[in-house]
Amino acid sequence: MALVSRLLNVFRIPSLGRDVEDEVRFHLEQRVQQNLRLGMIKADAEKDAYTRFGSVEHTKTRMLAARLISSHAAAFMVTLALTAAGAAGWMLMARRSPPIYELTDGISAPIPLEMAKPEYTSLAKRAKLQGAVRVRCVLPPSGHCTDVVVVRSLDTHLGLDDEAVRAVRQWRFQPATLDGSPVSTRIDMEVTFALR
Amino acid sequence: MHGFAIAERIHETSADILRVEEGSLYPALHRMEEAGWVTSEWRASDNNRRARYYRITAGGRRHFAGIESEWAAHVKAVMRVMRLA
Repeated sequence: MALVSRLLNVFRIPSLGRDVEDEVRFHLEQRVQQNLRLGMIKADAEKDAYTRFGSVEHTKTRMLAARLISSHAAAFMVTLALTAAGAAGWMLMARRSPPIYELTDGISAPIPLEMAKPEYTSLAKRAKLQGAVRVRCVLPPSGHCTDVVVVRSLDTHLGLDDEAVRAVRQWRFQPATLDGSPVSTRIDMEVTFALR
Repeated sequence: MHGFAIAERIHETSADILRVEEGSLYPALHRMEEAGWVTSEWRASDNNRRARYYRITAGGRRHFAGIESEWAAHVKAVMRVMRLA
Protein backbone atom coordinates (compact mmCIF):
# COMPACT_ATOMS: atom_id res chain seq x y z
CA MET A 1 0.00 0.00 0.00
CA ALA A 2 2.80 2.37 0.89
CA LEU A 3 4.38 1.75 -2.49
CA VAL A 4 1.09 2.24 -4.31
CA SER A 5 0.35 5.53 -2.58
CA ARG A 6 3.90 6.67 -3.17
CA LEU A 7 3.59 5.92 -6.87
CA LEU A 8 0.26 7.68 -6.94
CA ASN A 9 1.84 10.71 -5.36
CA VAL A 10 4.62 10.74 -7.92
CA PHE A 11 2.15 10.56 -10.79
CA ARG A 12 -0.16 13.16 -9.30
CA ILE A 13 2.57 15.75 -8.81
CA PRO A 14 2.85 17.43 -12.23
CA SER A 15 -0.88 18.12 -12.68
CA LEU A 16 -1.27 18.97 -9.00
CA GLY A 17 1.47 21.56 -9.25
CA ARG A 18 -0.13 23.13 -12.31
CA ASP A 19 -3.60 23.14 -10.75
CA VAL A 20 -2.32 24.85 -7.62
CA GLU A 21 -0.45 27.38 -9.72
CA ASP A 22 -3.52 28.11 -11.89
CA GLU A 23 -5.88 28.42 -8.94
CA VAL A 24 -3.66 30.92 -7.12
CA ARG A 25 -3.02 32.91 -10.30
CA PHE A 26 -6.75 33.04 -11.05
CA HIS A 27 -7.46 34.44 -7.60
CA LEU A 28 -4.77 37.13 -7.84
CA GLU A 29 -5.92 38.14 -11.32
CA GLN A 30 -9.54 38.44 -10.19
CA ARG A 31 -8.49 40.63 -7.28
CA VAL A 32 -6.35 42.85 -9.52
CA GLN A 33 -9.20 43.25 -12.01
CA GLN A 34 -11.64 44.13 -9.27
CA ASN A 35 -9.20 46.66 -7.79
CA LEU A 36 -8.82 48.24 -11.24
CA ARG A 37 -12.60 48.50 -11.52
CA LEU A 38 -12.58 50.27 -8.14
CA GLY A 39 -10.28 52.86 -9.64
CA MET A 40 -6.85 51.79 -8.37
CA ILE A 41 -3.82 52.28 -10.57
CA LYS A 42 -2.23 49.02 -11.78
CA ALA A 43 0.73 49.02 -9.37
CA ASP A 44 -1.54 49.57 -6.34
CA ALA A 45 -4.05 47.00 -7.60
CA GLU A 46 -1.33 44.35 -7.80
CA LYS A 47 0.24 45.26 -4.49
CA ASP A 48 -3.13 45.07 -2.74
CA ALA A 49 -3.88 41.68 -4.33
CA TYR A 50 -0.65 40.21 -2.96
CA THR A 51 -1.07 41.83 0.46
CA ARG A 52 -4.57 40.44 0.85
CA PHE A 53 -3.52 37.01 -0.33
CA GLY A 54 -0.59 36.56 2.06
CA SER A 55 2.47 34.49 1.26
CA VAL A 56 1.94 32.90 -2.17
CA GLU A 57 4.70 30.31 -1.79
CA HIS A 58 3.55 29.27 1.66
CA THR A 59 -0.02 28.92 0.44
CA LYS A 60 1.01 26.78 -2.53
CA THR A 61 3.04 24.50 -0.29
CA ARG A 62 0.10 24.05 2.07
CA MET A 63 -2.25 23.39 -0.83
CA LEU A 64 0.07 20.69 -2.15
CA ALA A 65 0.48 19.19 1.30
CA ALA A 66 -3.31 18.98 1.65
CA ARG A 67 -3.51 17.02 -1.61
CA LEU A 68 -0.55 14.73 -1.16
CA ILE A 69 -1.72 13.30 2.08
CA SER A 70 -4.33 10.67 1.57
CA SER A 71 -6.01 8.92 4.43
CA HIS A 72 -6.36 5.27 5.27
CA ALA A 73 -7.11 3.61 8.61
CA ALA A 74 -5.02 6.14 10.46
CA ALA A 75 -5.63 9.44 8.81
CA PHE A 76 -2.91 11.95 9.16
CA MET A 77 -2.26 15.41 8.00
CA VAL A 78 0.91 17.25 7.45
CA THR A 79 1.28 20.93 7.53
CA LEU A 80 4.41 22.59 6.38
CA ALA A 81 4.64 25.46 8.73
CA LEU A 82 6.61 28.57 8.26
CA THR A 83 9.34 28.83 10.80
CA ALA A 84 8.30 32.43 11.46
CA ALA A 85 11.68 34.03 11.11
CA GLY A 86 10.41 37.20 12.68
CA ALA A 87 10.42 40.38 10.64
CA ALA A 88 11.01 40.89 6.96
CA GLY A 89 13.62 39.19 4.86
CA TRP A 90 15.41 35.93 5.33
CA MET A 91 17.97 35.35 8.02
CA LEU A 92 21.30 33.71 7.76
CA MET A 93 21.23 31.03 10.36
CA ALA A 94 24.39 29.03 10.41
CA ARG A 95 28.01 29.95 10.66
CA ARG A 96 29.19 27.04 8.60
CA SER A 97 28.78 27.01 4.85
CA PRO A 98 26.59 26.45 2.96
CA PRO A 99 24.19 28.78 4.75
CA ILE A 100 20.84 27.59 6.05
CA TYR A 101 18.02 30.01 5.41
CA GLU A 102 14.78 30.54 7.22
CA LEU A 103 11.70 30.14 5.09
CA THR A 104 10.33 33.60 4.43
CA ASP A 105 9.12 35.50 1.43
CA GLY A 106 12.49 36.02 -0.23
CA ILE A 107 12.72 32.26 -0.60
CA SER A 108 10.44 30.04 -2.63
CA ALA A 109 9.12 27.33 -0.34
CA PRO A 110 10.16 23.70 -0.77
CA ILE A 111 7.51 21.53 -2.41
CA PRO A 112 6.83 18.07 -1.02
CA LEU A 113 7.21 15.44 -3.75
CA GLU A 114 6.98 12.14 -1.93
CA MET A 115 5.63 11.71 1.56
CA ALA A 116 5.77 8.30 3.16
CA LYS A 117 2.83 7.80 5.46
CA PRO A 118 3.71 7.68 9.16
CA GLU A 119 2.18 4.55 10.64
CA TYR A 120 0.42 4.32 13.93
CA THR A 121 2.21 2.03 16.34
CA SER A 122 -0.12 -0.68 17.66
CA LEU A 123 0.34 0.59 21.23
CA ALA A 124 -0.56 4.17 20.28
CA LYS A 125 -3.58 2.94 18.34
CA ARG A 126 -4.74 0.86 21.31
CA ALA A 127 -4.27 3.90 23.58
CA LYS A 128 -6.33 5.93 21.04
CA LEU A 129 -3.61 8.54 21.07
CA GLN A 130 -4.13 11.46 18.69
CA GLY A 131 -2.43 14.77 18.09
CA ALA A 132 0.50 16.40 16.37
CA VAL A 133 4.27 16.03 16.51
CA ARG A 134 6.16 19.12 15.43
CA VAL A 135 9.50 18.35 13.86
CA ARG A 136 12.23 20.63 12.58
CA CYS A 137 14.79 19.74 10.00
CA VAL A 138 17.32 21.14 7.62
CA LEU A 139 16.33 20.66 3.99
CA PRO A 140 19.42 20.81 1.76
CA PRO A 141 19.28 20.97 -2.06
CA SER A 142 19.32 17.14 -2.12
CA GLY A 143 15.64 17.29 -1.07
CA HIS A 144 15.98 14.90 1.88
CA CYS A 145 15.69 16.19 5.45
CA THR A 146 18.71 16.07 7.72
CA ASP A 147 19.12 16.98 11.39
CA VAL A 148 15.52 16.02 12.14
CA VAL A 149 14.51 16.92 15.68
CA VAL A 150 11.22 16.87 17.56
CA VAL A 151 10.39 20.39 18.75
CA ARG A 152 6.97 19.58 20.17
CA SER A 153 6.51 16.06 21.38
CA LEU A 154 3.25 14.13 21.30
CA ASP A 155 4.34 10.81 22.67
CA THR A 156 7.73 9.52 23.72
CA HIS A 157 6.46 6.21 25.14
CA LEU A 158 4.27 4.63 22.50
CA GLY A 159 6.39 5.48 19.49
CA LEU A 160 4.57 8.29 17.67
CA ASP A 161 7.43 10.82 18.04
CA ASP A 162 9.83 8.28 16.56
CA GLU A 163 7.37 7.39 13.83
CA ALA A 164 7.00 11.05 12.82
CA VAL A 165 10.79 11.43 12.60
CA ARG A 166 11.15 8.19 10.67
CA ALA A 167 8.53 9.27 8.13
CA VAL A 168 9.96 12.76 7.68
CA ARG A 169 13.42 11.31 6.99
CA GLN A 170 11.95 9.41 4.03
CA TRP A 171 10.19 12.37 2.48
CA ARG A 172 11.50 13.97 -0.66
CA PHE A 173 11.13 17.64 -1.49
CA GLN A 174 11.85 19.96 -4.32
CA PRO A 175 14.27 22.20 -2.41
CA ALA A 176 13.67 25.85 -1.62
CA THR A 177 15.23 28.32 -4.01
CA LEU A 178 16.69 31.78 -3.65
CA ASP A 179 16.98 33.75 -6.88
CA GLY A 180 16.45 30.49 -8.76
CA SER A 181 19.22 28.50 -7.06
CA PRO A 182 18.46 25.68 -4.63
CA VAL A 183 19.41 26.51 -1.05
CA SER A 184 19.26 24.83 2.34
CA THR A 185 16.35 25.87 4.54
CA ARG A 186 15.25 25.08 8.04
CA ILE A 187 11.63 23.96 8.04
CA ASP A 188 9.08 22.98 10.65
CA MET A 189 6.47 20.38 9.89
CA GLU A 190 3.54 19.13 11.84
CA VAL A 191 2.78 15.44 11.54
CA THR A 192 -0.72 14.87 12.83
CA PHE A 193 -1.96 11.49 13.94
CA ALA A 194 -5.70 11.07 13.96
CA LEU A 195 -7.78 7.91 14.26
CA ARG A 196 -10.77 7.57 11.98
CA MET B 1 -18.37 28.90 -6.65
CA HIS B 2 -14.65 29.54 -7.19
CA GLY B 3 -12.28 30.45 -4.38
CA PHE B 4 -12.26 34.14 -5.19
CA ALA B 5 -16.06 34.28 -5.07
CA ILE B 6 -16.03 32.40 -1.75
CA ALA B 7 -13.54 34.92 -0.31
CA GLU B 8 -15.74 37.78 -1.49
CA ARG B 9 -18.84 36.16 -0.02
CA ILE B 10 -17.11 35.81 3.36
CA HIS B 11 -16.14 39.50 3.32
CA GLU B 12 -19.64 40.58 2.33
CA THR B 13 -21.68 38.41 4.67
CA SER B 14 -19.46 39.24 7.64
CA ALA B 15 -19.69 42.97 6.77
CA ASP B 16 -15.89 42.98 6.49
CA ILE B 17 -15.46 41.89 10.10
CA LEU B 18 -13.84 38.60 9.17
CA ARG B 19 -10.62 39.53 7.46
CA VAL B 20 -8.40 36.56 6.90
CA GLU B 21 -5.55 36.28 4.45
CA GLU B 22 -7.27 35.20 1.28
CA GLY B 23 -4.55 32.67 0.56
CA SER B 24 -5.40 30.66 3.67
CA LEU B 25 -8.77 29.82 2.14
CA TYR B 26 -7.24 27.49 -0.42
CA PRO B 27 -5.39 24.95 1.75
CA ALA B 28 -8.60 24.78 3.80
CA LEU B 29 -10.71 24.09 0.69
CA HIS B 30 -8.26 21.43 -0.45
CA ARG B 31 -8.33 19.70 2.93
CA MET B 32 -12.13 19.85 2.92
CA GLU B 33 -12.16 18.21 -0.49
CA GLU B 34 -9.79 15.47 0.67
CA ALA B 35 -12.18 14.92 3.61
CA GLY B 36 -15.12 14.64 1.19
CA TRP B 37 -16.97 17.73 2.43
CA VAL B 38 -16.69 19.60 -0.87
CA THR B 39 -16.03 18.58 -4.47
CA SER B 40 -14.42 20.65 -7.17
CA GLU B 41 -14.24 20.82 -10.94
CA TRP B 42 -12.37 22.96 -13.43
CA ARG B 43 -14.62 25.11 -15.62
CA ALA B 44 -14.40 28.27 -17.66
CA SER B 45 -15.15 31.32 -15.53
CA ASP B 46 -17.40 34.23 -16.50
CA ASN B 47 -14.42 35.94 -18.09
CA ASN B 48 -13.51 32.67 -19.80
CA ARG B 49 -10.54 31.74 -17.63
CA ARG B 50 -9.81 28.26 -16.32
CA ALA B 51 -11.13 28.27 -12.75
CA ARG B 52 -11.76 25.68 -10.07
CA TYR B 53 -15.35 25.63 -8.81
CA TYR B 54 -16.25 24.15 -5.44
CA ARG B 55 -19.54 22.65 -4.33
CA ILE B 56 -20.56 21.34 -0.92
CA THR B 57 -21.46 17.64 -0.68
CA ALA B 58 -24.30 16.05 1.30
CA GLY B 59 -21.70 14.74 3.78
CA GLY B 60 -20.27 18.24 4.01
CA ARG B 61 -23.69 19.70 4.86
CA ARG B 62 -24.16 17.15 7.62
CA HIS B 63 -20.68 17.86 8.98
CA PHE B 64 -21.15 21.63 9.00
CA ALA B 65 -24.58 21.32 10.64
CA GLY B 66 -22.81 19.49 13.47
CA ILE B 67 -20.10 22.11 13.71
CA GLU B 68 -22.67 24.90 13.65
CA SER B 69 -24.51 23.61 16.69
CA GLU B 70 -21.22 23.02 18.54
CA TRP B 71 -20.17 26.57 17.73
CA ALA B 72 -23.52 28.01 18.85
CA ALA B 73 -23.22 26.16 22.17
CA HIS B 74 -19.68 27.50 22.56
CA VAL B 75 -20.74 31.11 21.91
CA LYS B 76 -23.65 30.77 24.36
CA ALA B 77 -21.29 29.48 27.04
CA VAL B 78 -18.87 32.37 26.50
CA MET B 79 -21.73 34.88 26.66
CA ARG B 80 -22.95 33.41 29.96
CA VAL B 81 -19.44 33.67 31.45
CA MET B 82 -19.13 37.27 30.25
CA ARG B 83 -22.40 38.25 31.89
CA LEU B 84 -21.28 36.75 35.18
CA ALA B 85 -17.90 38.51 35.08
